[in-house]
Amino acid sequence: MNDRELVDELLPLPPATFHILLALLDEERHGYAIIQDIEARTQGELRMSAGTLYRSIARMVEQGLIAEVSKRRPAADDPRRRYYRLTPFGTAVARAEMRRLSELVRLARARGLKPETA
Amino acid sequence: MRFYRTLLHLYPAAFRAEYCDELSLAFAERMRELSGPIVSAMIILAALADVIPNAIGVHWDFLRQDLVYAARSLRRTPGFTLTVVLVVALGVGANTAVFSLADFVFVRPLPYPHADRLLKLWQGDTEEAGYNEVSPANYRDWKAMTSSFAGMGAYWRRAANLVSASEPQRLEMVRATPELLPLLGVAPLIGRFFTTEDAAAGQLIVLSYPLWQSRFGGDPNVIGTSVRLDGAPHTVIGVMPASFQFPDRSVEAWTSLVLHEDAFADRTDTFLEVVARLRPGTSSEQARRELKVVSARLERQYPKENKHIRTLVLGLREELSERARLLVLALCGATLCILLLCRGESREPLSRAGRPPRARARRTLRAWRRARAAAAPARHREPGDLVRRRHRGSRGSRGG
Repeated sequence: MNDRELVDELLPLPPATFHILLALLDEERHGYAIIQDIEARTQGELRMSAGTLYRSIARMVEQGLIAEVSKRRPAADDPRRRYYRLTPFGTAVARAEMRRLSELVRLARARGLKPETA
Repeated sequence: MRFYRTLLHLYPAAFRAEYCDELSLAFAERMRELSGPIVSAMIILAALADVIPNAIGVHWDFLRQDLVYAARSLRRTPGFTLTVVLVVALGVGANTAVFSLADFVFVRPLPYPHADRLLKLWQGDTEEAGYNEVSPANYRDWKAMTSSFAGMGAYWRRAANLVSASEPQRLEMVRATPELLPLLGVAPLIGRFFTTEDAAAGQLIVLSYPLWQSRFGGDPNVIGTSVRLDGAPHTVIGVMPASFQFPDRSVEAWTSLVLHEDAFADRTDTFLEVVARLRPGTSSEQARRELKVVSARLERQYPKENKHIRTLVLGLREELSERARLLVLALCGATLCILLLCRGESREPLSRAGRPPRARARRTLRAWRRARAAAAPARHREPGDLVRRRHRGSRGSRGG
């Protein structure tokens, strides 16, 4: 299986998975921080529950999109917290999903469709 | 939070072991954001809404993953797959066969009213193990000298060629004395049984329901029809109900057995199987005791022919069980072995594919890296490099 096939096998990504990938783009985060980041980025539109988050995390770890970080944490941090980072494969999959979504939007625009105005 | 932690038991154990603490922590932090007069109720509702659908989802994810990995593993090893399919098919088939047999022998009630009062009588030799059929003379004397039974009949099995309007057919059948069918307690569906008077005339036949359907198309006017059995004409006088069988399903017809005087001459000629129904209020133990006394009397009366001859009394089901028990137990043992084998075989593909998730993730990453290296060796970087490259790229694009 080549590079593209490995990535394409996971597309399209579930929205929760894509949001988690986006949340981990710039830094490693623990679960609750991911929830907060998604909520902030979507202006409160998406409020992910703990169950949904960890179900997605389990699947993404399994798929190799993200990995647990084993580095030392700040001393004041809750020891139960685990941090996750994006893997290179996860980055590639996020890019591929972005390209897929962009292509969809481009096709819609080409047909003269305009976004709904608030 | 205790409520939430209890709810977490709905998740698969492996998932719980991995994420239980984090889930509780994230949920607690989420709940701290809530305020208002009905916070407790909101927390309970939030916990239910969070855990129940996701627990179902995780169970489904795990099942899907296991099936996918098992399928992949089996696809890689077609020989092994074929073996697994054959062994499982064999296991299912053997299990079904043994269950059917055990159901018949041990579980299903015999198709006769008050079947627990039906006994099978055999001749046994006190000097030897086992038991034999009964001689006509002993059958006649047991019947005449006992009072424990409401009825006693005898039969022997044979095969015969049936010729009627259509093609000849080989039949498993029973020749029965006139007492036998009535004492079983099942009335004919149509027609009647043969009587002692009929027996003297001979040449009568009672059909089983399957034979009536297959050979005579279920014709209600079959009574009085003439058929030939091994060349001898017989008149159909009755049809038994579909649920009736005696002594087993393979028997398709019953004809009258007439014991002429010469049949009683040789007391050592044993070929009859004897069935008796206990008289109401009499126990099988009382019948045994009475037959023991009768046997002793017959031994004194016929010291040469009936030396050491005793009567063996078994319940009709007991008798079936006795004969089939060893066979069924042997089959059960064999089936158990096959099922254990099937269990091992069916688990094998899952265990072959059942590597820890992180090992599978590492494998995916390795495959991805290999694919990238093969496609464009110059682009290959260590995982950290790719993350850093993405950072640079995103900053660059924002800057542009």
